[in-house]
Amino acid sequence: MMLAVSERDATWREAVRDALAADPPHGHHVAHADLGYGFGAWSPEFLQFAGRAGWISATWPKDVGGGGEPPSVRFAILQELAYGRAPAEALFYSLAVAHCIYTHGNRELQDELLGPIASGEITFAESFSEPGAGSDLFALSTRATDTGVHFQLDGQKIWTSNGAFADFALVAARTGGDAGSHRGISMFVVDLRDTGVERRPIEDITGEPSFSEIFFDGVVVPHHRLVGTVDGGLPVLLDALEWDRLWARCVKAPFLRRELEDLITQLQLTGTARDWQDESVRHEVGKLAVRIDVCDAMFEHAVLEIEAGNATDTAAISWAKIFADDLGQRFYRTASDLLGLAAAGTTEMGQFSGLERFGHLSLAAHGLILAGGTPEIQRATIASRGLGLPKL
Amino acid sequence: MSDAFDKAALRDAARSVLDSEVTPTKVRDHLLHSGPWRSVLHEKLAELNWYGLLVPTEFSGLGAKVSDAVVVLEELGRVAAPSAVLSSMLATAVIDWAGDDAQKNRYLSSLASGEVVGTVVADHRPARRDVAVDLITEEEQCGVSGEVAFVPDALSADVFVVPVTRPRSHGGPELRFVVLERSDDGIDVAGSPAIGVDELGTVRIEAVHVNADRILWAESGSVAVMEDMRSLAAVGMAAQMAGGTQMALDLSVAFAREREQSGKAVATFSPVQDLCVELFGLVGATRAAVERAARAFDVRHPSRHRLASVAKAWANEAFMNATENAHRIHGAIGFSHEHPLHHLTRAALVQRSLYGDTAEHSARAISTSLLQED
Repeated sequence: MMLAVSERDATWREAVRDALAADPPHGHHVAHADLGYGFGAWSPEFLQFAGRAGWISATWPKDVGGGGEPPSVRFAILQELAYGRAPAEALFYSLAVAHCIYTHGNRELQDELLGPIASGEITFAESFSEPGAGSDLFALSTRATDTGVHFQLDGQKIWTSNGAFADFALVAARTGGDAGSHRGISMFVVDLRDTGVERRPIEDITGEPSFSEIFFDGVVVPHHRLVGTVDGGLPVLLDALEWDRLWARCVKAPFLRRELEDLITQLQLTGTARDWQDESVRHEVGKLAVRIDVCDAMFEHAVLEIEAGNATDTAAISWAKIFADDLGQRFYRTASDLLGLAAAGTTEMGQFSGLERFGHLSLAAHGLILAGGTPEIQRATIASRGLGLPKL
Repeated sequence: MSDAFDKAALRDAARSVLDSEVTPTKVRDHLLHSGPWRSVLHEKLAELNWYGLLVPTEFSGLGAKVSDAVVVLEELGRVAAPSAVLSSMLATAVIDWAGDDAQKNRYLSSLASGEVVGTVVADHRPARRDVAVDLITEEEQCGVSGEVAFVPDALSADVFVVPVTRPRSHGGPELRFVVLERSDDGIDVAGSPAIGVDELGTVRIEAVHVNADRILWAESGSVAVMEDMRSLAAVGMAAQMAGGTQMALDLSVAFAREREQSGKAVATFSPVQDLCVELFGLVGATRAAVERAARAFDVRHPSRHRLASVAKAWANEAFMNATENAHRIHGAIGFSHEHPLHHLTRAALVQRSLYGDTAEHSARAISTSLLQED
């Protein structure tokens, strides 16, 4: 039983568990396999299910049609979905972009998109990285030009997760300044199905088309699709990145707890490399269990701080992200130690349980540490913002 | 329900008192030749009512929750204070959970005020986890015999809460707690010199005869009380270790900004920054794990035993890693007796084996499945 933060969130946890029990998540079609973030695979079908259940807009402010529930409820919903192995990756992106729209977007954009987002009808990607702009996002050179009638978008993005599947993307583009400047960045919601958008899926390390190149050639973006102000997109971009570090990683612990239960079940069967009765095996598993709970504790702490109205502790969240991603790698390495070749198998797309998944997830874990900012970038953030050490 | 304690205010108050009362110089002197300072500090802590943190207000305690108490324990650990606050807290908790009204009346107020100091006489060594003290009951009298090593604050304690079992030959095994007093005939305590500020001793109990009113009958069951005591001990010690980890970070960052090599502060060197960042992570993780376990304890959540073990297993490694990192940042000065860093290094080495080691707590973290906790 997971420790609830409040009675309110306990109710939501129960509701999610009941819904998943009534309609098992592996019944939903997925576009590509689960990478092991914790939020599951990409499934527009499941997104609509989540929309009907009210999980998407539960924690949006009431004045934009949301349920006005506190952040701990979002935490509860996401965690239960992760433990239940629901294919909720699209849900994560919908929450992230909706947050940017209701926090920084104009009324017209809110009226246009928040309804369809809440019902799970439309899907989103976040398109920030470019061929020359990875860890250094300020190097981005995709340009949005105001023609007076609309914006015109030209440039190229790369490594956009689910870029080949999503209907829309939150795009960082340059309206002013030169590549390398933190000034002149603006944020847009771009319809990826529009004329002038070309998407080329990239097969990831596991062979799945989980990310994509996106080319923009004279794409028409209506004025109201600007999120924030012209040249004033930086706070929106930083907000989106912070959101990713917290809400895309808080699912890691419950996801891995479920994986750990599978690992223990497998070790109790005969035929694995190591025996569950071996005390050193249980010690290794125990150490993983400890880390999973410590990881959980850090995200829970971050959510409680936000709920208490305290300023977001960027450095603490950066560390939690590093810890979660490291834990993912550590988990599958230990699984490999204990299960041997049985943990190096491959599986069909969309497989939800069984240790056949472990080989696939071991590979995927190497990419997750990079997504949303490498550990090295996070460490630099902690050194300067958390500890006030001189910039290098 | 509103919180009785403002945790931030509690932390600030604790820190300001301890920064002036427990200076590095006093701790160093204490390590070299333990003198009367420990009892001076004891008086101060008693004045603050910290021995009564968890004691209900009707027995002159503060009636705090575990999540409040860990704030104070973190601050005590931060300055490596030689205090019996945790030991006495465990004794008060067991008497509160397992004692009857007369027993609570007799012990809780005097423990809360610090007039007497308590400790729980339980073995920390996993291989000796079986209760080593025998209880023989004859009519209204009972005889208690046994020996337990490495008991925290054994020399300072006036009240010993002793888990005992009735031998099989006398209808056992059955777990109970008895309360023994320093003045009882047959109690002998010998100090076990250890490298840290934690005071340890061996308690020998030789056919101590007490009346049945010294047995805590524990309506909820002594086994459950024992589990709660072990979990509270684990989370309490982990809290002290979280505080020590915090101090390792604070000392290291201050030193790195100040100390120059090749004409610039060592904080401008990337490998040094990395060590500091690692320390930052250890602090956040340990404190979060402690807070979570304490919160589970506050609401008597079934996961409190697992989470307490998680906190202690993690703190055991985190505090050690923190002191190791801090030594690398400090260089030779951190290896000197004059510098306070070794107060933490000593604490880390001792505390990681107190109230359960890493192997024991890692095992406890997986011994109950989430489903069983429901």
